[in-house]
Amino acid sequence: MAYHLLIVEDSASMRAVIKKVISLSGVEIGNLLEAENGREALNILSEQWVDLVFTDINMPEMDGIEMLRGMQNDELLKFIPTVVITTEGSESRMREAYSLGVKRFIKKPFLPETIKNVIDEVLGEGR
Amino acid sequence: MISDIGDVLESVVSEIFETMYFLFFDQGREVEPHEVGLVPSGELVSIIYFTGRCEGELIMAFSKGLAKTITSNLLGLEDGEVGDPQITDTIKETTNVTLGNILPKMDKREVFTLSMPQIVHQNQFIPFSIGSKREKAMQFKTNGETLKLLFRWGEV
Repeated sequence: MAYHLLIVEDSASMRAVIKKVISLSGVEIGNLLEAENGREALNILSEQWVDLVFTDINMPEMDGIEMLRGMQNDELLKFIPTVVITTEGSESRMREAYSLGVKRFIKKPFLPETIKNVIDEVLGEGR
Repeated sequence: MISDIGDVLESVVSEIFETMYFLFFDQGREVEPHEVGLVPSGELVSIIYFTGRCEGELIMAFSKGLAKTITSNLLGLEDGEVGDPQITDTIKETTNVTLGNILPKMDKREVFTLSMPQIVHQNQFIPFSIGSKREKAMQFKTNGETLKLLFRWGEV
């Protein structure tokens, strides 16, 4: 079974790194979609289902927290597992993200294995 | 609040550059803030602001060779394949990640709001933001390339 993933990250370099790590993770990937901010991500999600969303927090136009709120307020999107990849690792910020349904929190800088392990864990929960 | 911001800057820079870019700096040394605050020629400079119980900004000045190296190492590209937009994006992201790792070491409970990182152009003086009252500037070297940091902060 191929999984469809969405990466929400304003840095093109960081999106490229996350894509490369995912493609090397050994998980069978279907569509690997990208968005530069939360608004673009919600637009994509309104038209296309994905199995997992990786999102940054600090982004222009719509940040990750606002996007997560938008997903939680949607009857369908709230069931999509989300993983935050961010620099913002304060306890309060993590609590806020977890309260919005986030499954895992990956802090930058990260090791490639961390992303692979999180994919295995999060997608494994739904198998 | 931590006592020695210099130790924090050094440990954060080491962790980020080793993990993301496989680069190891020699021990950092303190420099005069004006060496970073007045944008040095021949360097690429980015700035990011933060607000919260404490406010301020982080300015990072990369030698051009260092900026190119971290971009090629991050993206797994040869030097000749790296373009200016990729370099600009990488140094902005590095500045974002660096500040994001400094702040929890100052106060792990406080939620800080970060601005979007911006590129600062040459010969442009960077004034203190309203909250900034203290400053620390450090320089790090690796293989003849240089990174300078200026961190300014103050209680609101």
